[in-house]
Amino acid sequence: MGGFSVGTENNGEQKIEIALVGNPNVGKSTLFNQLTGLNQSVGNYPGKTVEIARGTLVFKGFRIMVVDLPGIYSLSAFSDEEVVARDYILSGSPDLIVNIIDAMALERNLYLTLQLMEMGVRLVLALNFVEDAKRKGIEIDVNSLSMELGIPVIAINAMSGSGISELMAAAISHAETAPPKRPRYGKEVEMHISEISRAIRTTDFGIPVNLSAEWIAIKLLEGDPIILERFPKLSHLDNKIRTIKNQLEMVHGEEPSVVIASERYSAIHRIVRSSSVMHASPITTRSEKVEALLTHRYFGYLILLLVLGGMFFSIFAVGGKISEIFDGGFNLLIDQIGRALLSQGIAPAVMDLLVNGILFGVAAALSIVVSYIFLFYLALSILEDTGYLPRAAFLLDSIMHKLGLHGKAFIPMLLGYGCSVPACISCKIMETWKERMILAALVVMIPCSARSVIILGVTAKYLGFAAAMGIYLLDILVVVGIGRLLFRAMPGESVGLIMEMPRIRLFKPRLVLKKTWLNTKDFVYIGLPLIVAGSFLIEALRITGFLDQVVLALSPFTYGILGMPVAVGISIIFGMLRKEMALVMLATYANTLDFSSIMSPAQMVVFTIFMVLYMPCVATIAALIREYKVKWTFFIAALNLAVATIVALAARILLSLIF
Amino acid sequence: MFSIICGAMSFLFGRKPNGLSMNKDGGSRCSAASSGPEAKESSDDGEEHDLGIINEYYRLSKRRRYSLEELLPLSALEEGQKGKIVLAVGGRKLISRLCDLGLIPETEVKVLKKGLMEGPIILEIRSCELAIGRGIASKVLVKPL
Repeated sequence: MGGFSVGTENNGEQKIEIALVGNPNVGKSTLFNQLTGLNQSVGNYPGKTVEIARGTLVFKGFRIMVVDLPGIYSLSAFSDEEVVARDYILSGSPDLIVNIIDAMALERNLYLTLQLMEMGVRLVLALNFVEDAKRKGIEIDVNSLSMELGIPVIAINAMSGSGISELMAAAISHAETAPPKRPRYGKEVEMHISEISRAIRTTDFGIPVNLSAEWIAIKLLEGDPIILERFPKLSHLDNKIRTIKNQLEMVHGEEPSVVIASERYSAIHRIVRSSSVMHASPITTRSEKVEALLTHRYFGYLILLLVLGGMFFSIFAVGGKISEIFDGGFNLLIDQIGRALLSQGIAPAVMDLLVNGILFGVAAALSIVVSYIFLFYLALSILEDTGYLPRAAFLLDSIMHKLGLHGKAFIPMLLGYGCSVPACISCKIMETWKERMILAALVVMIPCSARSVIILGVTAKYLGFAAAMGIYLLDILVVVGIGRLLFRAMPGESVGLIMEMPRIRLFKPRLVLKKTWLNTKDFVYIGLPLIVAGSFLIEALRITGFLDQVVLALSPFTYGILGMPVAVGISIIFGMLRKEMALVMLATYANTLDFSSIMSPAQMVVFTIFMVLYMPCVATIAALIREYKVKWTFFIAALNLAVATIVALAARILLSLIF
Repeated sequence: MFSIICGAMSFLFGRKPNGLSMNKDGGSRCSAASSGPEAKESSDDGEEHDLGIINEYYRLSKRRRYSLEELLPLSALEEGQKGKIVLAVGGRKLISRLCDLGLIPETEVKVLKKGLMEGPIILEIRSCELAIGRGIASKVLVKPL
């Protein structure tokens, strides 16, 4: 990384703050990681749920704080990401904005640039993917683009790191210069903008001086939903603006917001035409052929099945094996530690607490992490990096529409059959919070591999394969029903699928591994302590004899309401920790491996249904809290418990009527 | 597992997609080319080709450069066919999204691919590829080229 020294504390340096802004998928995070190294802390922006990563680097005596804002297409404030990005830029905290531009989609990317220019902020453009654009037949003259826009433009390659030193040098030298002037729009529009901005300048509306009056004028013309909320005094201008908007609409025959969007795009078109050349490329490139195949109406689905099946298989078959080996190794190790401790003369109760409580907890959590979580993130990073995910979403959109979601929602759902933890985390791929939250509530109700153990070990073993399939089908019905219910009940709108289709490319192993590690690390920090604490607590309860009392205390519920044997209370308790332990613990507790000796067929069905639906395990809860905060996690857990009780009770009553 | 889920889903729902999306915008100000109190509540996510509403909007629009007969919803274009956007009908949020991504009046688009079973459409616009849901595509009126 050349002349960078990352994160060294040094006094007497000049500090500047730069923010990275750009469309999704333009290499923003890659650039961020190149600049700051991977040791940055990813923190939440105060009061907001959208993540903003920060990092620092030292360059030529400057201490540069780099802020990575969420990927956005526009600053129109119609999504959480846009509001967060806009508020941050408006806060006046960044000295300069580095706007990252995808050279292959110059026109669309410059739309955001123009909006930034309207805001009157200092800007430097980082032009990424220049080589790829050249291959596509787009040649950009960096100098004339810079001249046309009045902004320094630096060609970079975020992946290899070339051009980044120049970019930082430009950022430093422009951190205190006057902000660039935005391009002029049509005469009509400019007239109205200056009329409104004059009115804004001459009256005190409580607007900070650093905000551009022209920008506010444009936002008012567009009918921006947030600007009046932030500066309520602006409502004095309501009448004036209404007349102007009507006038504008009369002349142009369009909504003012559409007029302004058109103005921006025609300005962009002018700039792009005079600073770049497009060669028509008659030869279809290899990646175009692959792209056509991936979205083919028949082969596309076949490939999708293979890809998802392969991913599924590798995560849960390979993961299962790794987990087995891991567990085996750990058991041996823990056994020896236990024996060593005993020989040191430690009381057996303390040893149990240490070994069964803490060590087994750590082992259990680590084996989940190494086998399932890591593999999942690896697979996801590969799919993400190659650009396959949008293709899968394209193919599955019509099926997911029936659920009120769209194409992308299929991925978390499918993953739910393996492990709820990655499934919950992957709900992030949905655009709106409403969709993410609903999807998270749904995926935890899908039987993960641990719950499949219960279905197979009880229902399938004693009642036959058809009964087990019946449970799976019932679960799908419940998920679909709850999904439709939540969609009706929750506020917020869902816009249908609008999704960029990035180019297909080979993934970069180094980047994929970095991404995988970052995500896995995050999970370890949250999941591990919780699983360990949970194991410790249960072991403490067992040693002190409280466990029996808790199982007994559950009996009004287990026996009274659901009509199951009291002993299943142990499964319920352990199931909250690790679902795959539920059956083993029941067998130990009831002192039998033959479940038919303690449960009737009807009881088995009720038991399985309840266990499948009742509550996410600790690791899942940790993931949910991390992604969706405590309140929604609590709601999901409560919802699951309620649904499980109702469905299990209904099954009990129904079965007692039949048999 | 995959086929079971697919089967179950299509079994459960057949073809009755509407009523899932919420449009809290209420009777919002709509449309690229028209607006005003006549604007009806519309679900951005709906999958039907609601030509009735689109015709209504077109009749009200102040920008009638083309006769209605020569216009088509974007969703009616064939794969490989090109068109020029004339107007879009929908809630504020949808219109704003379309504008952000460059789907504004007078822009040329090319349909690259249409998904199976009323699936989404892949477009080429401003030399980028974009997938939009069939419901949204049916609310964009184009002049076929």
